[in-house]
Amino acid sequence: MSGAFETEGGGPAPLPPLPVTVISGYLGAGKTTLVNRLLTEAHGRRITVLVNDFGEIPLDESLIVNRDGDTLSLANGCMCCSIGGDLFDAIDRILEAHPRAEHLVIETSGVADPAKIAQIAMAEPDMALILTATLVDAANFEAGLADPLLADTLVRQVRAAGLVVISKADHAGAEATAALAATLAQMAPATPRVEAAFGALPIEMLLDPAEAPAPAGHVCGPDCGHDHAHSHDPAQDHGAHYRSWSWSGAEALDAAAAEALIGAEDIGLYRLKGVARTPAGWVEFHRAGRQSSFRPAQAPADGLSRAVAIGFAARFDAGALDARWRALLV
Amino acid sequence: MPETVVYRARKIVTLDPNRPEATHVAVREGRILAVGGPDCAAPWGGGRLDERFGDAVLLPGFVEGHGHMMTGAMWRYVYAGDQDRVDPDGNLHKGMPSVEAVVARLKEAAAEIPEGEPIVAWGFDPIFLPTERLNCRHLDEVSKDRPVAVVHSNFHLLTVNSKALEMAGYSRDTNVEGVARFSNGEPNGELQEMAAMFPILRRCRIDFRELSRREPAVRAYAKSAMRCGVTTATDLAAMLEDEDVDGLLRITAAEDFCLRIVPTLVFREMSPADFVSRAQALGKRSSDMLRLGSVKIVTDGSIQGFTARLKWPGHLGGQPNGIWNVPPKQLFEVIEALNAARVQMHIHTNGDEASEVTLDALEAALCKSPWPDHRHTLQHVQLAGEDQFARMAAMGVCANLFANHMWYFGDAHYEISIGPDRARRMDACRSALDHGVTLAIHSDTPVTPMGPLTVAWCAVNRITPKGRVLGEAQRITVAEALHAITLGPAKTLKMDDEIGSIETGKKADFAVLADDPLSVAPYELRNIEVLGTVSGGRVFMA
Repeated sequence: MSGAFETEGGGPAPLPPLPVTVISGYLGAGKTTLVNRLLTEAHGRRITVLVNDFGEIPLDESLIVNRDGDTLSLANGCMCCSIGGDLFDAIDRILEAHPRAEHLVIETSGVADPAKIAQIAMAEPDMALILTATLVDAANFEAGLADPLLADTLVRQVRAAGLVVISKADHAGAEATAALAATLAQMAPATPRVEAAFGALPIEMLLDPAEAPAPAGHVCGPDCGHDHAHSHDPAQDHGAHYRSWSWSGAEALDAAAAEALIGAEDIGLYRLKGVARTPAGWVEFHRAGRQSSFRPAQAPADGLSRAVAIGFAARFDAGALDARWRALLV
Repeated sequence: MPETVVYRARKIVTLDPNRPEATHVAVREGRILAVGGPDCAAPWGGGRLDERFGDAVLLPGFVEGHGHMMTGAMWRYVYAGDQDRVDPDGNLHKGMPSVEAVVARLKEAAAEIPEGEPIVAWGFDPIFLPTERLNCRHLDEVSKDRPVAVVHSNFHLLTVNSKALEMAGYSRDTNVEGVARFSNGEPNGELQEMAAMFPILRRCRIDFRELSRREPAVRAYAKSAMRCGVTTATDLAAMLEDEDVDGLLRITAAEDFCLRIVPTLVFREMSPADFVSRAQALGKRSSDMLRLGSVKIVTDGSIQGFTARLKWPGHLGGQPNGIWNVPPKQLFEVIEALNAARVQMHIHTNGDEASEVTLDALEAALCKSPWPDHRHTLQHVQLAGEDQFARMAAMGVCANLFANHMWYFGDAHYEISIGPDRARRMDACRSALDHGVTLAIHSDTPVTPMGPLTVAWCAVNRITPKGRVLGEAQRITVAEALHAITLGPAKTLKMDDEIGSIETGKKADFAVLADDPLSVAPYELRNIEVLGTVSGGRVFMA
């Protein structure tokens, strides 16, 4: 068949890229607990989680509807796959699955460099990197930094993150957590941090926060400006900590200037996504934490460009973003 | 009564200190009945004289203590290397000295590859070509409408044509690490590391690991081994799913199969107890030709890839330290569990920091659960110093050194990765032997081509392509090098009671050579022609 490598043709419309979240962190940082929540909480999405070994996850047996070698299927449509021999094989299996998952979460090994895993999702057209989140164990991270065998690995994981999640702050105590926040601020000054005391990280933060209501957790931006040493009650409404912005229109954007703005570090953006027309064609773009992507895309049915953004109230200047966005229109 | 065959050879180098040389070897039921002169079988009732090796020299079948089955999968694709190479069926593939020659070869091959299939080549190594670096414009001459992909010999780089770039959506707007560019910002076709390579490999269905699990790859591995005199080879990092083991048991049992295979189960992040029980279950499935039950642990990366864990002063160019594949804490746990369960380990350590942590873990495990003859083996262990060899000797840890690095990467280590001092003392075969450490040397095929006589040549001469002698003090003698490709690796596999020397009672596993390694000039060692092997008494000629 000569059409094997045609990029267009009569087949079914191509699926949109699979959104990907990479979860990193050293042993004991709480990755497994988080994965368990992603698989079992009522978030209404069919999430596939790729893990090294699902034997470690304390999944409720009654939720499991099928076991097939490297894959567990749950009643809520979520799946848990073990990486098995080769990460790339496993990703390929997930991309080829019918139906395809709505979101892929990759749990990295305790010593992996998450930047390398994130690169896969950035390179593969059928995947879209949403976020790399690095979990930091408030009780043990400083001790790890003092270990010359480990320190560089831990620093690499924090520097690769778009969002740092401080876990086990309740075990570590207020003083240690505050000290850790200072260490992290020095290590990765532009990276937002969230304290997930009592495992209370709002998981929308990891999936697609721009579409979610303001989460019921507290996100500390770099310039949050308050005392970080307090504990967080997950039930408390922290919606006031967020501001959002959106835009749609028929105009085209200047591609280079738009790409620069989407990656800008001076407007306090946490999350931005959208699709827009440029003189060279349609593009889609994402930003989560410090990470952004910008690439060619299909035109939407209504022919309108649109973008939506969210950021930390203490830091995100929606007015400034709006003004700078309008300056991109050509 | 079973038949006894007495082979006469020009010379038999036995590696048995009781009778270092002989002219005749008697074989019965696949084993060595007697060794000596024309009448060596007489006390056993004599035998039929076979003179087919009359002009040849017999050595114990070589043992590749660190290789990978993936070697057998490569020949499905077009060879594009600069050196002449012989495929498993004995066909010579001429090396290509220029980018133009590579393109011409690919054009020829494209005409034979069915429409709709990608054109894939392997073995390419730009550092040996003096011409312009291969790019997509060269490969567009091969085809504009089918993807063309050239896998480099290190497996970390891929060069593709414009069609393949288009399939992956790579353009000047792509913001992905590892997509190399022309000076005008357009991708030039070179893709560095797996993340950037993956979209192409996936769309062209190039999957070397999957290919290497299939029967043709297993058979090709055996044939390639035979052509370089190897009768026992490891597959030193196997997944060993149940169906893989079923297949391997069946394939290796065939009468025409010429290689004893020792696959080692590779550790990945899982509970030590689960890993131990998998290894033990596999051990129960061993057969004569397939030896299961030992395991592989990979602690760090590679020196040439700047991913090995190094002690101070680290990399010459100040690159950050390498990566752990297993967290040090977990390394201690899994080594302790395996040792306590009496599972033998092959542990990959390239950098000296990785070796040190591994020795610490082994020491802790052995103090808790003494095992007098464990033969845990450090694999590569390229930067071990005198101190680490002393520790290995004290603990009975074996070393399988990557001596081929002298020739294949030696100049790069000297000039780029670690600098002259450590390049001179890497793969320190002399130190290992002087400390009394059991020594093997290996190719890590397909990282470098399998060929024990070449590995031995590297360990004896320590010469680089630029003519440097890297550490004269670490040279070993030809006799020592022959030991390190036969009995040495046999010991690291706990098979020295069965293979590794030509003496009564052992398997009739021989390498059949055209000349005597102990008589030629040491520099000619790698040029000795391999005529074939004898595996369990069955003759296989190249």
